[in-house]
Amino acid sequence: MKRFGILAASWMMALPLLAATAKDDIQEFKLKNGMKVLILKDDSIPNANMYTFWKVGSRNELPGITGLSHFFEHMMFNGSKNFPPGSFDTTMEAAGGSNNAYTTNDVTVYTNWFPSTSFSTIVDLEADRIASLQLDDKKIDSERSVVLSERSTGLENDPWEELNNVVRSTAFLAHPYSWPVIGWEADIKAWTKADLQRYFDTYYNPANATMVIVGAVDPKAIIAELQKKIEPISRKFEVQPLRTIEPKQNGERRVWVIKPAITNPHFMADYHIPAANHADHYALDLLSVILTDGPSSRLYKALVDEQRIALEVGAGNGEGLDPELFGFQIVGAEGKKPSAINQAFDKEMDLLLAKGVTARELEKAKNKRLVGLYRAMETINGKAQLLGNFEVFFGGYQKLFTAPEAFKAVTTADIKRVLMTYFVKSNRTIGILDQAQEK
Amino acid sequence: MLNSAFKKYLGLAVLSFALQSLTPAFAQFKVPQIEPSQLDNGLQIFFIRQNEVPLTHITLGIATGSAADSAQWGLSSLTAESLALGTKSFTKQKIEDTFDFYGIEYQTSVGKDYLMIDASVATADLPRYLPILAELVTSPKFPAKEVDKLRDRTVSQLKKGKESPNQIANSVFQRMFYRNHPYASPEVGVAGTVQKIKTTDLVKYHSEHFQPQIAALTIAGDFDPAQVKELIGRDFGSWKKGAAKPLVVNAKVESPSETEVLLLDKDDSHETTFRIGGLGIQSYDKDWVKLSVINTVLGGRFTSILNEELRVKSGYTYGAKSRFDDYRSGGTFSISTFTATETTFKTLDLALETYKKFVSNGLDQKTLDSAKAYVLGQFPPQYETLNALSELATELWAYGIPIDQFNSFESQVKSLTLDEANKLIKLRLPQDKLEILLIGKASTIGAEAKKYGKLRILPIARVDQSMAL
Repeated sequence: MKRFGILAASWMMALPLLAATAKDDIQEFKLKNGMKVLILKDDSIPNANMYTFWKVGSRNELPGITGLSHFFEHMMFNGSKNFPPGSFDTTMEAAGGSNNAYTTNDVTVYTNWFPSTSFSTIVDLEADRIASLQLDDKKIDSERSVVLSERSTGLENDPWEELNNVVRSTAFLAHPYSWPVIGWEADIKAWTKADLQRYFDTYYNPANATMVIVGAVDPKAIIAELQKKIEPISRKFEVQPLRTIEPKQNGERRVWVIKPAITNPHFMADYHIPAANHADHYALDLLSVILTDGPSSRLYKALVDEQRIALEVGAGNGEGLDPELFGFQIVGAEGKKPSAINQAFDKEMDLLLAKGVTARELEKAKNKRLVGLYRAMETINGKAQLLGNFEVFFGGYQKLFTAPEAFKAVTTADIKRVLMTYFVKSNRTIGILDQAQEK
Repeated sequence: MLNSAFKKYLGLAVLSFALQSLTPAFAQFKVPQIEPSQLDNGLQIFFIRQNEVPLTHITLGIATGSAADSAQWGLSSLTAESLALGTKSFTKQKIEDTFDFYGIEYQTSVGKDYLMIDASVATADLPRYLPILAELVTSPKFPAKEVDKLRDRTVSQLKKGKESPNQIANSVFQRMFYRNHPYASPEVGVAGTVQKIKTTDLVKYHSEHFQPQIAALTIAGDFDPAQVKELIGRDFGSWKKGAAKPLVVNAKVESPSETEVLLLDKDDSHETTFRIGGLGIQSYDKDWVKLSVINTVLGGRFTSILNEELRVKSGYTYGAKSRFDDYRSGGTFSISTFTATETTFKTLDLALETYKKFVSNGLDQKTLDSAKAYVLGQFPPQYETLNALSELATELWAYGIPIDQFNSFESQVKSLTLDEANKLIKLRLPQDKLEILLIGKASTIGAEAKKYGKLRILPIARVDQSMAL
């Protein structure tokens, strides 16, 4: 969920192996208040960015305040001690900068993009809202309507949204990954200023954040600026580790969503997988490429091109701080029965489980990931996003530079093992959205 | 869908060089050199060298587009997409396997005036990609069985598009505005017209338009120019020159004669999606840079007047924007937003009132200074990728814009005075006879929609059944 506009292509698809950038180019620094800072000097354009990753997302919520992390993200733009409501954006834009932010199950990330010469102004703005955010009652009300509109427009324009909500809440019985990042409607309407203040005090402790800065900047000057303006901000609250562990799933679950006006059946199959920092991550990621990325991928070829039972196929391995889901999304061809789509999907998965993948398929997936990484590294924003993701999800930004070897090391036997471990029917939830429930 | 329109969003597509004196002094930014050359058959070549990553981006532009489709809406697009279904020496499977195996990102995109075949490849794989590209444009086979499959999928996807009002709103708005003008033709067609396209139509379209004298090949990235020149000569030298001329739409783009309201009825909607607008400008109109600054103030950034009123102050919507969609012969200006069904008319009234106020009151010096700083500051990242540079070179070629003219962007932004901005607002933004498109639940909002102009209510299914709306 994002503050404004549509979230760009998923970083999950991007991969490691940096060309012109090496591990030693990154300056790592820790402020006394605990905030970690990563700086990469890159003079390719006269601009820079600042990505602040806060380790708070919908996984830190409880029933009754679902969606609060995302709502809080919106409130971070609505006034602090020295910048009254509205002036965060007007000040940044007048300095040639723009901003956005997004919230996921695991993190809330604030992004500023600006001409390097405006760096000092950007730090003033960021420091002030971290130090002394002001929660204005009127702004809470109008922003609540904005978020209700954001939720509504997702459901209006994308049939996957509702199905995904239902599948996740079925796949996760106990873990907070069960609810949507944007929250349930009743909770959006009900949360209070006190809920927001408690969230700020608890999670917006600089020790709970990593800041990544990439661009035409002088790292020494940056560190001095951050020491002056952000280092003095400290809070005592410590984030408690999440207690809930999702119990093992012992049997397939199946849910329906009925939408009479839909033109095509929508089919999902989600399997539990481990957290992002698990050793199987790389094999799972390559498997997603082999299965649905490009016209030569397994499922595209079988279901879309040859059997013509599907219009679109997609897959993604959720990369979470906690165990996530590997999800398949299939838009059926018009008039096809969900049961027929399910059977065709199962047939391909059974074949994979029996025979595994070929060496060439695996090599293709590795090539795709490698070139994809170069593409992500073309921009200063791609670099900042990757560094932050690796730091937060994969056990340190250094892993970005060893990921190519990690991909290279994956064998067809690893893929087979991963298939047998996670892609069993008892570990999955099937979701179907269609005009009516099939008899 | 791969085949998206590539309209320039004037609020963002902006270009600059040096500094702005009013606000922070920005360091100088330059778009890399574009080195032109030409083959004997007329194929224009552009090289852009940049070696940040070991990648190369290739764009083959052809000066034909959906405005050439006449009654066969979607023909250019289906032809372009069908190139990869097999050629003289490469089968569909061979092409797909090669692209996937080497991580080549390939796509075609058709605009109203010109089309592009784009690929991003690892530089080492250029000798593998260029011969395939050459065959895609010179000797595609359009195998009937594969064309049938692709056409059926395209038709299904177009039908499915109606489930997402936001996805179809721009294209429906343009059909409303352009009516019988060739620009009414949606880049990807509509289900009803695409369904009727035959393999023989593709063959004919290809032979009439895919000719080197109306094409340009841009290579951007980390490559050896001598080696690539040789490859291009080898692979494209035998492409036969023909008689085709670049597509130039001469029909005049005009304002509607009265305010029209079209309500597309989507009975299961819980919100209303809007487009409001009228006559815009041509691509690279003499005022386009200055109008892009003006649009930034009105609806091109977060603190724009429209977003401020409709989102920040009232909470009616998650976002409100405005934009120019400009083409060679003319274009549109439009405001876009959405809101819950119950707040439809409060939102529409506020959008219209905000816009009218802007047109009559104009802006102040502080806002103008901020917009100029914003436009200049946000410019460099737009030309940071090889993809963006390669497509820029193609657009300049298609519209015959010299690079120097393009490079005057920064000085034009700087030279915009308050007086001139306020004059341009009155002169160039459409003021009356607006077209209003609403997509939502007619049983709830139909009656009240009448008061905004001549109202027509159509079932949403109509958008892909016939050309006329």
